[in-house]
Formats: sequence, C-alpha cells, structure tokens
Amino acid sequence: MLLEVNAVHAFYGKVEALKGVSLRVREHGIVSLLGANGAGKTTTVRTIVGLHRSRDNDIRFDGRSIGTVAPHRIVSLGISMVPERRELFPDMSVLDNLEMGAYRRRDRQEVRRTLEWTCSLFPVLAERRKQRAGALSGGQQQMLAIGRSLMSRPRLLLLDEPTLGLAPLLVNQIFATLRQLHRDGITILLIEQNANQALKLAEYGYILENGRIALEGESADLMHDENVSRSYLGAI
Amino acid sequence: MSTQDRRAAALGIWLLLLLCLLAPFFLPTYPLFVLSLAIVNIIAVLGVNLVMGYAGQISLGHAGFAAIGAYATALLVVNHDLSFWIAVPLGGVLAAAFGYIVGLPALRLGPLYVSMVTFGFGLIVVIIVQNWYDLANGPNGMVVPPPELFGYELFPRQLHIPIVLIAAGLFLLARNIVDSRHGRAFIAIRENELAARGMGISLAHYKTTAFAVGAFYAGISGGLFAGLSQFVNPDAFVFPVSILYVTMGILGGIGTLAGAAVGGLMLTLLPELLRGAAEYKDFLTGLLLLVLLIFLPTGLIGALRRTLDRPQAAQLPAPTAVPIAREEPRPAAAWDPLLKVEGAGISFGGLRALQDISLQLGANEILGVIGPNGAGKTTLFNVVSGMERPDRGRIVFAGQNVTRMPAHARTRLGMARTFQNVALFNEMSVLDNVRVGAHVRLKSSLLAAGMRTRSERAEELRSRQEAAKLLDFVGLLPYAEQPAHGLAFGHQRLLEIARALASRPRLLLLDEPAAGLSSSELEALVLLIRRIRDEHGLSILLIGHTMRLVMGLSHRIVVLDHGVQLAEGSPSEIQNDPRVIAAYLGVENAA
Repeated sequence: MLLEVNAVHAFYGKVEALKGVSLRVREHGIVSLLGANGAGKTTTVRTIVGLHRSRDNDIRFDGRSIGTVAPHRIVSLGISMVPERRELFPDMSVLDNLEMGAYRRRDRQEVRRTLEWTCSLFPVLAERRKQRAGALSGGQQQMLAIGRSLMSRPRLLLLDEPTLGLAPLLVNQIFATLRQLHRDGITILLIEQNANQALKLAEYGYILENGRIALEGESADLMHDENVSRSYLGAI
Repeated sequence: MSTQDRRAAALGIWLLLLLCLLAPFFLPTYPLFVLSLAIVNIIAVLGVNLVMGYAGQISLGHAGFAAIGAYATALLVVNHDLSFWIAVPLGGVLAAAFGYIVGLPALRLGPLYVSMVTFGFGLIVVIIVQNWYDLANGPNGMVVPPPELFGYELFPRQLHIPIVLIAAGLFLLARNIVDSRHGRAFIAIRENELAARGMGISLAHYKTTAFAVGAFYAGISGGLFAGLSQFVNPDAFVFPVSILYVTMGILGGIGTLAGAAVGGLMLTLLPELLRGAAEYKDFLTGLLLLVLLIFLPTGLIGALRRTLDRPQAAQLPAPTAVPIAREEPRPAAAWDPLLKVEGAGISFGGLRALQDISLQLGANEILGVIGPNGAGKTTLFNVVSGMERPDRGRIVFAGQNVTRMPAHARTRLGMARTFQNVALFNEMSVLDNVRVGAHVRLKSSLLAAGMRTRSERAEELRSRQEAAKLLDFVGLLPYAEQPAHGLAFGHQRLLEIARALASRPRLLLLDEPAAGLSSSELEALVLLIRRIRDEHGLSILLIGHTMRLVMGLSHRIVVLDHGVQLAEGSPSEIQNDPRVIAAYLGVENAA
C-alpha cells in the first residue's frame, strides 16, 4: 500500500471532526473520497498532508510513518495536495506559481523537464505564463493549481474538489486530465462532489459520514448500491 | 464568546471594579496615584481597541487624541473657568472631531497607510503644543487646578473614585457598542470589506465613526490625566505613549475589552513594581513583554479564553414564530420588471468583460445566467449589485436608475447577494454573520446602542430570533455559535444565502450557490431556493454551472460567452441550442 490511514482522529477545539477514519490507496491506484458537506473529507486530506494535527495519528506513506512529519517535508516525500478552492498565489505570475510547486527541489535540470511536462498537459498555462494567476479564469486557475502540485513530482496526488465552480465542458477536461495522470503512473486520491464522474474514474471509493467511513467498496459496486445512488448520485 | 466565558469575564471585571473602588481605604497615596493613572490609561486603551481590535484600523497616534483632550480640558478650566466635569467631556468631543478627520484617509488607504497617517498626526500634535507658547507655555507645560466637586477640591486621593466610576461607565458603553449592530458592522469591516459593502454597511460611515469613538475615549483619558496630575506638558503625549497604548491592548488581548483593562493595568503597574531594579526597569519590562507575547500570542485574555474553551450548548432563544415573509406584502406587479439592465458594458484594461448586456427580471421570477468560466457572469453580478460601475448602459432597479448608486445603498433598496468565492465574516459566529445581513433593517443609533435603550434591546433580541429562524431555514441552526470559518465549504454557501435573506431583499443574486454541494444537498438547495422565492416573494438572479439547479429552477436563462449575450430563452430552448452546446455544455451533458 502506498498510503495507509489507520483510525485517524481530528479535532477542532472540542469538536471531533474525524472519528477513526481508515483508508488505503495502492501504488498506481485511484481512489475517490465522497460525502456530504461537513462529513470530514477536507479534514482527512489536510490531516494526511500534516496541515491539521490534533492527535498523534497512524498514517503511513510507502511504509514510512508520516503522522508527525512536518507538512513541507511531506511534500518532499512525494505527496502533493491540490487544495479546495485552489489557493493560488494570486499576485504572482503563472510561471512563478508553478515554480513555487517545485520549491523543495534542487535539481534544476529535472525541474525544467517537469515544467515542460506540466505545460504539455496544460498548454494554456504556457501561453499565459507571464500573467497574474489571479487574472486567470476559474478553469485556468484550477489547471494551474493542479499543475503547481505536479511540479513537486508527487507519487501521490490528493485533489480536493478540483471541479468546484467549473463549467460542464471544463469538468470533463479536468477528469480527462486526471485519467491521463493516472495512466502516467501517479497515484490519486480524489475528493469530488460530482460522485458519478468520480466513481467512473476511480477503482475504489470511500464514503464519509459525520467523520466516519460509512461505506467503502469497488466503484462499480458503490454505483449500484441503492443508498449511495440515492444520496450521492442524483442527476447532476 | 460563549455565555460561560462572558460570565467569567464579567465576574473578573466586577471584582476588579470592586477592588479599585476599595483601594483608597488601604493603599498609600503614591500607589493609589499609580492605580488611578492605570485606570486613566485603560480608558485610552479601550479607544485603541475599538479602532484596532474591532474596526481593524491601526492607530499609532492615540496619544495625540489624548493630548487634545488634556489641553482642551486644561485650557477650558484655566482660561474659561469652566467646571472640570464639563471640560472633560468637551475635550473628548473635540478629540472625537479630530478622530473623525484622521479617519477620513482610511476610506482610500489600507490599514498600514492609515497607521502612518495616525503616526504623523500624533507627532504633529506634540510639535504644535511644544512650539505654541501662547497656548500653554510650550514645553514648560501648564498647571491645572485640582478639580472641584460640590465645592470641594479633589486631590488625587479623592479623585480616584470618580475616575474609577467614569472608567466603569465608559467600559460599559464600549461593551454595549461592541455588542450592538454597530459593533458587528465594525467587525464586519475588519473581516471582509467586500462582504460588508454587500450587507449595506457604509465603509465611510463606520471607519470614520470608529476613529471618532476611539479618539473620544483617548480625549477623556487625556482630560482625566490633566485633572489627576494637575499638570499638562507635551512630554506626556509623545509617540512612545501611543505605542504603549497599542502594546497594552495587544498584551491584554486585542479585540477584547477585558484585554484593554488587564493590559492597561499591567503595563502601568509593572514599571512601578520594578522601580527597585532601577536602571534595569525598562529592560525587564521589555523582556517580560517579549516572553508573554511569545507564549500568549493572543494576549492574556485570549489565552484565558482558550483554557476556558469548552463544548457549548446552543445559547439561542427558541425561535419563536417570527414571520420570515416580508413585513408588508408588496403588490406583486408594483414594479414590473423589477430589474432592467440596458446595454451594460464594462472593460478592465483592454479586456471587454461585458458588452452590451440587456436583460429584464420580473417580480417573482428566477432568471438563470450560465456560461463558461471567464464569460463575465460574476462581473454582471458586480455591475448589478454596485461593486463595479459599468462604462456604458443603465441599471434600473425597482423603478429607480441605480447605475451610479453605491453598493450599500442598493442593499438598502432591496438587493442582496452571495459571493462566488464565499465572503463571510470568518471570526464571527455563524449567527452573527446572519445578523450583519440584517444591518440595513435595524435602526438603533450608536447612542441608543451605547445606552442599551429598551427599544434597542428589543430590536437586538428580535434580530437574534430572526437570524436563528433563518439559520433553521437553511439547516445551519446547530452551528449557530461556531465561528463561520469552521463550516464546510458548501455550508458556508448556505450561510451566505441566510445572510443575504436577512436584509429581506426583493432581488436575490445567487452566485454559484451549488458549488461544493453533494447531490442530496443539491436537491435540498433546489427546494430551498423555490421556498425562498415563494415564501419571501422575491426575484432571483441565479448563476450556476450545475444544470440540475439552473435548468430546474429558472424560468428563463441567459447565456454569456466572452462577455457577450450568446443566447436567451427557456431552459429547454437553451439545452438544445447548438451554440450553447458547443461553447458551454459539451456533447455529453447536452441530453
């Protein structure tokens, strides 16, 4: 297993947001994490990358315990997150945003190669490399957020609602990109409200409810589960 | 702050007050004088705290306001034979007038630049009183006779109790203001200026008011200082004093009134306690300050509050049967159409964000706006709600041409909006966010709030109940006492809707309300928006990418692409329009 999360807890003050969440992602796997607002999806990925810590948690990446590793070191280990609502550096140029993604890397030649690869995935970023990130349209900003995360050359990519606020045409594009990344060998953990498309893409899914894993299984099984389809798969 | 915390804080303050009132019976003269001085400082720190901690503006010139109060008091007493007790409030009012003027630059400048303006102001005041010999002997200062009360001269020992009582009164006044709609407006501006404008809060009015009230407190403090020390000279109001006030506020806990009291007390008493250490006094004070701030970054009161942090029971009054429908039902077709956009256009730099947009929205109608990202949908919202002014065209709302009307005035006319990227007042409770939404409907003046008049209390209670009712309506009542930033993203959107409804708008502008919602939540939202339209009888302009939402709710749909109107029609016409499919929907979603 590339990522193992074992009975993880998280607190905000006295409020328990995660009540023992366990999940697994195999190397080269693609897993989706679904659930209603407030279920704890974002808290789960923030806990994995070390941005939220209220307990000593048993989290393993490639067999190594990362429950107490500082967030910036976790990036170097090969985990990268595309945060909810993108969180770009709006006053920096597109190129500078991308380079910030490679901040922890010292191999300049290799970084340049990653940059070329990222720009081949998202040609529009190359076209607009001199523009302020804040001046991009919503879809372009999302591509930049994904591109920035790829610049650290992660083995595991965590995406928190990458299609938030995007037009239908762009949603399809983003999913196509994720499919491409998966083919390129990147392991993916995806949070998505668009459960239909997420389950079509992923091989396995977890459903969070009130800080607990309520259901897990092969995507195909989840898609045919009556409870799942009623709560999460309505026609979007 | 939870009710328990409030009670604990209130108890602490009452004990402190009692101790201060009893002090003359057991403290020798000099320590008592120092205590009086500390209390005078607390008054100034309360003013700094209102400006900084609540309205979020940095004041580095509060000693200047104190100087104005002190000199005004001294001159009125000496030259005009006025009673000290009349001169002090007059000094406060004069300082408030200067505060208002100093606050004006805050309308155009960010907090850092405003801090420079206040810094300059503090320096200039000192330079003027130093060099204006005819006014008050320049640097030599002037003697102030002891204040009189009922024919008795009050020397520092006797003046202590009146000072404590005045400080207690001013503390209460500040607390009342902070807890009122005006206090919420201050915090709203600190937390998010954009959203505050959207709620109908005039930034100009509240920023200058914050400075005026803050300066009033400093002015009173200065006047009392003049009476207490029976002497004023420029040295008492130099720049380090302004910094001292700010430090006192930060040490105690910025944004808490009790913090002002604790900080003011500590930093006045501490150097006196360290007098024995002679030349090490300043060094030790500085060191202690450093250590305290490193370990208690939210100040003493902030740290205390965190240790008191406990799970909170809902503190809400049971939502009584408050009608959430409009108070006076408006005739449905009184203004038909309610909103007219006529040939609106706007450019940013060379980019034409909107070109010749025309649309109409009737009473009780839902009009959908869709289009690719970057098509200009949010810009259209900004033009309609007054956040941006169009270069061309007209906006007519409720029969009035509002093209040049500022955003907060449009809210007053009956427009309310949500924001694409969510603009909440993060540190405020969920409930108070909704109450800020009701700002334009509440009427109590600053004075009524400060005095907490009966009608103001009734209005506040009503606003709490109505806000609770609205939270219940969108399903967020269980989160009422949590800070807004703790909500999940989709819930933050629902909170924005509740907040927008609190102003009881005629027109609701919803910017992608479904982003971040799961499909079951989406179903609930569709029902909710329909209920909003039916029960509140309002019109809705709806931006959305979620077809289920826009197609299911809208009577008509306008499609924007690259700033131009690509199509307009019924949902089914739009779904089958080949141009729309090519530009926006894509083949897969067209079905």
